[in-house]
Amino acid sequence: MTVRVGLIGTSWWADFMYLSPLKEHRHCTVVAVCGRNAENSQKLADKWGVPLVFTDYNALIDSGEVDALMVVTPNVSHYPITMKALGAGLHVLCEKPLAMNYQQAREMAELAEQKGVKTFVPFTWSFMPYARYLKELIANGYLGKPYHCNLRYYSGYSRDNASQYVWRMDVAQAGSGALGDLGSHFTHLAYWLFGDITSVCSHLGQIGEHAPLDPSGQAYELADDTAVLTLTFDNGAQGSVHVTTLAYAGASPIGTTFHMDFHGSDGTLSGLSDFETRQHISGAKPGEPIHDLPIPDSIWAGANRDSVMETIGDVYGKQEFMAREWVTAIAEDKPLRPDFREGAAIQRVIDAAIKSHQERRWVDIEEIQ
Amino acid sequence: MTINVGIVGTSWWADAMYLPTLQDHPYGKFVAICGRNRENAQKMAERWNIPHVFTDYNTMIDSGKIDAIIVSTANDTHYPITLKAIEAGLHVLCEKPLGLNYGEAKHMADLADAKGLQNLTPFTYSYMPTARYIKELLDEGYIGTPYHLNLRYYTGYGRAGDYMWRFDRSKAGAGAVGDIGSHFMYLATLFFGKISGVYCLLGQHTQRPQPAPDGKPYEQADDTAILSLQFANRAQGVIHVTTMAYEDTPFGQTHHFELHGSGGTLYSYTDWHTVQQVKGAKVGEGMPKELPIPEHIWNGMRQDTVHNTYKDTFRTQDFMARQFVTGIAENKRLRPDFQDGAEIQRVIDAALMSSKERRWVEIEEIQ
Repeated sequence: MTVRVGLIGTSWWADFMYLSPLKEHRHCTVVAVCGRNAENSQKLADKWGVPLVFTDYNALIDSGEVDALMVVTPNVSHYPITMKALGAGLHVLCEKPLAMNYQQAREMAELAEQKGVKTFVPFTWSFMPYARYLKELIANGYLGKPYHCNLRYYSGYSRDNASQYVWRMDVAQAGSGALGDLGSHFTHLAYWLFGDITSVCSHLGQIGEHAPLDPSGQAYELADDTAVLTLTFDNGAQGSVHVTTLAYAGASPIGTTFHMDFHGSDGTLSGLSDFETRQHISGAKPGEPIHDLPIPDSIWAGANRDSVMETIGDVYGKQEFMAREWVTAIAEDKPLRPDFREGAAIQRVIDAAIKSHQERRWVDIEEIQ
Repeated sequence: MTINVGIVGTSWWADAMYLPTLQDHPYGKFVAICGRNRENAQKMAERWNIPHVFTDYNTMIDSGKIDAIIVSTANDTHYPITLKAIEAGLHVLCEKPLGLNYGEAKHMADLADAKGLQNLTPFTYSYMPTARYIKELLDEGYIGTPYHLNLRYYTGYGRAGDYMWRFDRSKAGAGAVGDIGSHFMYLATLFFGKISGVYCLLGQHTQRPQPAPDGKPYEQADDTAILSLQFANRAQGVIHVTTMAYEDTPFGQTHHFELHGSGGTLYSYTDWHTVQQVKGAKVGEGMPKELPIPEHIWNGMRQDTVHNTYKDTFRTQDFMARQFVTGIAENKRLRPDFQDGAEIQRVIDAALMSSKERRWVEIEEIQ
């Protein structure tokens, strides 16, 4: 079976994370690209040999030419595009954060389940070898009873935006800023590793300088450029998630560092990725010195280990993760996660975090319906 | 001029941090020691060649034999001892956290100021070379406008799950948030200035035995704390302190700092074994590289192990007890003083209120 895939969105991310990895996949062909700017869309289509170009997603969905759709657009359009695609019976991969709010995300998950299609929310970083190894260690009881985690996502993409409008910082386009964009990744990681999140308190920042007007010359509501979340988990553990778009975090193309510490009754784990050369896990059981825990060969599965950017290229471009995993799951009718249900669970935490910040109080996740 | 110093408290802390520090001090000497257990106090007095031994601090303060007092006792006695000492006109060094609450601490600070007495709240870690070098770099503008900091104190003294006065609310006021949180609140203040608001989540990851050794049931205090801070200068911060972490070093603890700003990034890591480093990168320089701590900060101290540096900091340099005595003799302004200690107590109180009421608390709410 060959899955005919359409893509909405023409950013560098769409190029790098979706078109490139699906270029050679035994189960699929990318048959359509859609972007509001016809010229950009055509250019991208030409680069990857995609036959059909659309400027209206409705036309793409209605064309009958695709079985599956990848939604790689600003957050505000995730819901309408996805709902239309699900209505047409398409399998859907939709970028994180899944929607503008939990209600939308839940509707998306429910409709997808009714339709019995394969959905996927690409929490990209959970597929990296270090993250999968952390999951394996924690699931196998390395920590014993988990006490707490401290996750830090230091990135710098808003550092030089004083004169440049960025949709990610516009509440109307993105819902929230650093919280939804980066916080969703690490909230998901926390959820994946420690289980259900039961409550959150959130302190959002608007610390850096940002362009005052959008491209149409209008003022816009500025989103958060940093977010500090404190979490409680159903298993009794606690967590701190600190994400920022303002950190000078090295000179890698992604300009980001990840830092993760986990403590429990029976051990300690740390993870680090600098998006240059370091991506490793260290840990210790009581009585042991803290030592490197080399990521097993089975997890690397042949991916480059020396350059994080090369690892990213291999994991998403050659192995069965992200878009490639989704397409295989469609073709072979395999289970897949994180699905929309999981994406909605994270959206719920994001909504709780926004409410917490607005009302300056702890919010139980159950309050968000 | 000789400053005669008395100390209340006979713990290992007094033995390590205070009693060895004035041996060759130009101005000060220990002349009196006070502990409830006479035998312990006597033993300590002999060990450090201290002539006068007391079992009641009132008697020691009233004896007329001392000019200055060091209060190194459980938190619940800081206030009564300090107040009595100030009223007797003694200069006072009192351990952190200064009081059981802001009301006590502020009263101690105001009274000491009103009497014109020297006072010191020694937040130990702020004297370490790493902290002093970071402060120097920040003052030079290394990171430009401060954006945020993340300070983590991972230690494991709570892991055994036994009774400790540090986890008994009636004796300690607060647990991890007061004991080790107060250290990092002070560092945060030293680095980024006044804290204006806080969220705090306290944790109790282990159930300790009841009752206390005195047979009375007690309220168990927190063994971990996660704080989210707002600074008056717009920056934000995270302080994560835990007594439940396994950290494999001789002191069972590690300190981790990350500070980010418009102009660059500073990291610091201390493993309490051999590593005590500061790393930094200005914008454009790539990943933070080690910034060697300058000679004027080491000032001849040993660098081979963190423990030796720690000892030398308090036994050979003008910090803590030595700083206190020099300050008295030369009438120098001391920092952190009781007002600094009270301001940190205020943050602790705000953190406790935040945890209890599950909401953001402005520091100004604490009066």
